Amino acid sequence: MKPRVGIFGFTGCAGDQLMILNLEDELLDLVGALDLKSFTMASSAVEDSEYDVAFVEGSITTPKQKQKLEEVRKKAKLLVAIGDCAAWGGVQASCNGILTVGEKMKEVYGDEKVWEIYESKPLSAYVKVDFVLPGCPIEKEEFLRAAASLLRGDLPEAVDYPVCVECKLRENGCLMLEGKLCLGPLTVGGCKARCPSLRVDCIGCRGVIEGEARVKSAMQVFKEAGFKPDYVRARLRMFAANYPEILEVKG
Amino acid sequence: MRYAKLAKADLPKLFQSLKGYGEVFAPVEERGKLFFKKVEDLKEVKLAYTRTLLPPKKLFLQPEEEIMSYEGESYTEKLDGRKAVLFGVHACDINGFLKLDRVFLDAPRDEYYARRRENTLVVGITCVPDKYCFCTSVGSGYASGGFDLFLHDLGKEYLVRVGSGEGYRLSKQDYFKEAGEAEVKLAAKLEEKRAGKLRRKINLMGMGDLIETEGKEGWEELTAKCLACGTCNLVCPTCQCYDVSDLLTLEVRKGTRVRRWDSCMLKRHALVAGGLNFRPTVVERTVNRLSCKVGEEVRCVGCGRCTVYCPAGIDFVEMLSAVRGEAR
Repeated sequence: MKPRVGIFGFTGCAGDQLMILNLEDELLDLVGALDLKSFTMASSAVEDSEYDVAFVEGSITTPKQKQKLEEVRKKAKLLVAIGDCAAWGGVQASCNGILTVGEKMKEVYGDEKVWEIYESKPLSAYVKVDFVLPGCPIEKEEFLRAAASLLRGDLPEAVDYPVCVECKLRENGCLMLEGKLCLGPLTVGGCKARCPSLRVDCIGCRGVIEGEARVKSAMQVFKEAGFKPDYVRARLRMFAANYPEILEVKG
Repeated sequence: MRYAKLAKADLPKLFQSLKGYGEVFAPVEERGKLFFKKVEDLKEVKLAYTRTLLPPKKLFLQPEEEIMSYEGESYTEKLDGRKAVLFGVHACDINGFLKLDRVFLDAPRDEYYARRRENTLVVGITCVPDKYCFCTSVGSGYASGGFDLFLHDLGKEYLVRVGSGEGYRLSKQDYFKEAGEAEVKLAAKLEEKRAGKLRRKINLMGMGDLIETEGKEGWEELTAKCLACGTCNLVCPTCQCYDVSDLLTLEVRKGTRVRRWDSCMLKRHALVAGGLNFRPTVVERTVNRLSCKVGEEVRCVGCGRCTVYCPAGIDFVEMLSAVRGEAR
């Protein structure tokens, strides 16, 4: 029997779902191997179902989303967070702990309470997440490999090493040594060091390596390199503001 | 050993002979970066250089390589036995090969490494040390073996030491001249002069025990800036660890098996089934790394790469001096 799969999106740009649709050469094989019950971005034909795997994109920012996420969790054997919003709260979390939701809403709409919304949080703030496919957006190849592992009945192999590994394997000169604020050492690899290979410093779009990233050490190294703390803090917060050690960084 | 002489003007002839053997990989400099690359012409080669970013071991133990593909119960190994030449290798890196050879050529033999190593000619060359080199402190300043030819710069010509049968065959080409006591004496003198320029020294007496007994607080201070990025391992000529992954296709029965350089500074290196990690902290990983390099035996060849390329500016030699109790 084919595994029943649902793909859902909450607050985010839908770019991760788009990356799945962008798997043009493999898309037919993919939908052929799965029993796709729900993928509203691709098709309005949605079937109410239990799921063997639910892929969930986006951060949770409203009570309705929280309720829907909890429903999906109840119906799903495995829940996989896809993309940085689902994994860390995304760019919309970058001011968490600095500005309140009310302050942000007043800034944009002139009123503190237009709707009831939450500070942007990852899925794991509300439900158990079985696996994370990180990135902004996710890597197509990584999604395919994860789907293959899930089809075999295994959890995929998580990338738990920094961007620096793939950067060195490509024999790139280190951008930090060239005086650039590169977040490679703190950031989950798996992107084949795409940006540093083009001599562009890593902005951390694949999120921080949970439990491994040496944030304090990096702050010291960046400080010695002459970067202003508020600039470093803003860079760190872009994709991983909800990571406790980054939330604590002073500007 | 056989000795020969090669006029510098005849180096292009040697290069042509090497090209006749196989693809030639040599140090080149592009945008300030030095690295080994396939070359077609001697003009592309940087003959006088300090060190390349990755060590030339990358030709034998590739950074990332597919080792087999499989379907169901059957598999096909991907073995590469192409003939190649590594031209312009320094003594430290050749001594690095000898250390890796013991791991990959001795039983159980690693066929992927072995075929490339055995089908590759290694041509050594006199190096240009900088302030980070300390090969003479770890016995790697001179290559006594592990090469086919070694070119010692004598000014207008090279003294060529011949280290293998294939090297012997090459040295019988008509552009080589006979060399003997006088040239060997001169080369030894010049090598000694070069070695004398190395200001960096490392004292390894009792180092394994010093590493083992250094307190946690000391290590935490010494590793405070470490980013655990793995660079020190990835640029090391003697790091031998690799990780193996299976990349499945959607057909599930089919896939490829790849291996990739690993680093003992990373989480997964000591992660075992059930989620236990027997080296969970950077301090434990650093102790392990240093013990492996300069503990029970000396595996460090003094090339200086781990210091030069560390994004946090951590200095290998200074760290070990601090462990000894010298100026911290």
